[in-house]
Amino acid sequence: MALSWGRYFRESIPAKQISVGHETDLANTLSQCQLPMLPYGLGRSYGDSCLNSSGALIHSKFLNRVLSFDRQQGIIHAEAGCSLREVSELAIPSGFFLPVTPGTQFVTLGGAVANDVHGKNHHTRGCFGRHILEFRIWRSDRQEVVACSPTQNSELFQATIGGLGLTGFIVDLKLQLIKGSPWIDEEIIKFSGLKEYRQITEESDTEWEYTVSWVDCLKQSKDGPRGLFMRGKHSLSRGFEPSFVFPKSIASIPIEMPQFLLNQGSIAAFNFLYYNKQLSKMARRTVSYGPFFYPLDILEGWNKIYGKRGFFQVQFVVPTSEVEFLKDIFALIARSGDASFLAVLKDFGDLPSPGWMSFPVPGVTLALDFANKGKSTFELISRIYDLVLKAGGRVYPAKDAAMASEMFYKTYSQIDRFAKLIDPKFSSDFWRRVKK
Amino acid sequence: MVENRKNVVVFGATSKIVHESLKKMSLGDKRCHLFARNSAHLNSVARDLQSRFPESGIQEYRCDFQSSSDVEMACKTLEQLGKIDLIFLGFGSMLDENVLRDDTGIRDEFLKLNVSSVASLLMSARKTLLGQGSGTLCVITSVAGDRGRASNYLYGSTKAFTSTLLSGLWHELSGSQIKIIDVRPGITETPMTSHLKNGLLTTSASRVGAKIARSVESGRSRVVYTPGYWGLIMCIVRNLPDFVFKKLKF
Repeated sequence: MALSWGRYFRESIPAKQISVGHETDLANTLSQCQLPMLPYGLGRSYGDSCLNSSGALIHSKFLNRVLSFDRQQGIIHAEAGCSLREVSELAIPSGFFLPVTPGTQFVTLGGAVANDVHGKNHHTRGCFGRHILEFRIWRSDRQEVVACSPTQNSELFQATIGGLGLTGFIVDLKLQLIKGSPWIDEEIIKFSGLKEYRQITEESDTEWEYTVSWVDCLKQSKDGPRGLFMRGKHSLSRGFEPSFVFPKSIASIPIEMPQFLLNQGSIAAFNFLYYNKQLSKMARRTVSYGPFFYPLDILEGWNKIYGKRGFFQVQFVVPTSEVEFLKDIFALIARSGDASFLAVLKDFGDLPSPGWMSFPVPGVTLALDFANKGKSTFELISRIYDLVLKAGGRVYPAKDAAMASEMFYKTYSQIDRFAKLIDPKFSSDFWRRVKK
Repeated sequence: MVENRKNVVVFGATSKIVHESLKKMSLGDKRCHLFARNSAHLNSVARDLQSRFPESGIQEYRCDFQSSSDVEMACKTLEQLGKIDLIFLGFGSMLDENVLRDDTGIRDEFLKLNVSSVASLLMSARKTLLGQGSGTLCVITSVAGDRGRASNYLYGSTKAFTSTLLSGLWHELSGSQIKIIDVRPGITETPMTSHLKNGLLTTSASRVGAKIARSVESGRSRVVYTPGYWGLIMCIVRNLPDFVFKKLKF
């Protein structure tokens, strides 16, 4: 059984699991497979976009070789099963850094392309797809590996970025890295309400490479939640040294925790402590990239904290002008008492992605977790989605477990041209749930 | 100019565990001689190591360890290289036990690969290391060799063969500077074991590789279980009396 990160879709059991050890295996494995197929990296998608019930999951994790690394230009050519962690650990000693990284480094390159991941620097660098020079993808209808780039098989290139693994099996890709120190100069500023959040965002966006806010969803004022605004940039005074310690996990959650652990009381307590972890309004320090980008990776298997019933992550974006809708959503969440401690707010920039199905558009994005409490959780998510739709926003498929087909088609205008390029032998639980 | 860079020789370079181990070693500017059957796969491994160790000299040799002539070529190459720092052997196969039990032809080929070819290369390694009076021989066997079990005794017996050979070789060479390391991984996630169900005791090739790299670099232990807790598990398994063992179905 391969679960997704939310550990909710337990009845989704693939009929077959195929591991690809090398490109030369494709002819004996994928070509012969009669079941609908779906690539599976490290299983960090929260919902059902990485699941394929009764179909075949194609594991890419053994395809994790680096084929070349140009240390002058910062271009890495690697197999799609390489994790962002492996790429970072190779790039950093040569002065390079991932151009875009999500909140975990346990994502494969293929997964990063399929979800067109974004990070704290979306306003300066856009999505992951903007930094892909080319990739090679296996298609069942071609029975061969096809090279794609902005100028070669460009439609397949654009359909695959953000294409949720449905357009074929990515074998390898070339990624342009950025120059950057593994040390981040960080500032954390306390704010109360969305007006202050907006002010700090406008001050920060030109000067700071990375910005993101943690918000306390349980403590609301008329102006929205309080929170901590974090901004960072690569240190110019401190770089990589041979003694540099790469991030590692310090503990692991081996089994599912009992559900009573995460309740309104414990979350409110966590939020209080976290908001007040610094006494001053603003704190400055230089940190290693691990705690800045991947605070949750220190706890291996942290998703098991949500217990047997699992959890949902909801992420959406609404236009910046729709601040009243955003306040309504926050108020709804606060009233429900169902929020978690992991609520993240950020402004997206306007750098477009090449991917047709890429999620970020200019606006404000909020990502948060909800423990699965059954019907009430689904109702809450449904009401949030209604507000998102009314605000002219959209939901991130990589995290979704509940979006209706109608909403998906209304909010992703390129879906029809994307659907034409789905590999005829590829499918997923998500796609079967939402497609017309 | 005399080529005086150290040599690392790897038999079975496309094995996931072998590759993960090499990634974690300090290959630096050493010359790496990689032997494997699938040229395209071997090339990908070579490119990966070259990317990580740009100063290293990586050479690829296509070698089908089931072919006597290829194994002979590999032995000759080994004996003709300069000073060798490390000989690392990690090739082998795992087949359906029921097929191995019933099909003589398949079983003969399986034994040729996992026993006969292994013995030829280990004797060649012995000769080479004796000639230079130093160096490390590291071989990947398995916990399956510690005691025969109903579910996989043909596979296990080939690993037991290798472990006993290494034990004797260690005994023979124990007065010298030559180090012999018998690595016994537990259940590891690799393409070879992908048909097996992952359990609590399954570990990653990356973790196993890291331990192998540390063991080769320290050279302290003769037998290395990876992860380490398998040492305790197998000690118990080996010493269970027959009347208890026969009740266990695994």
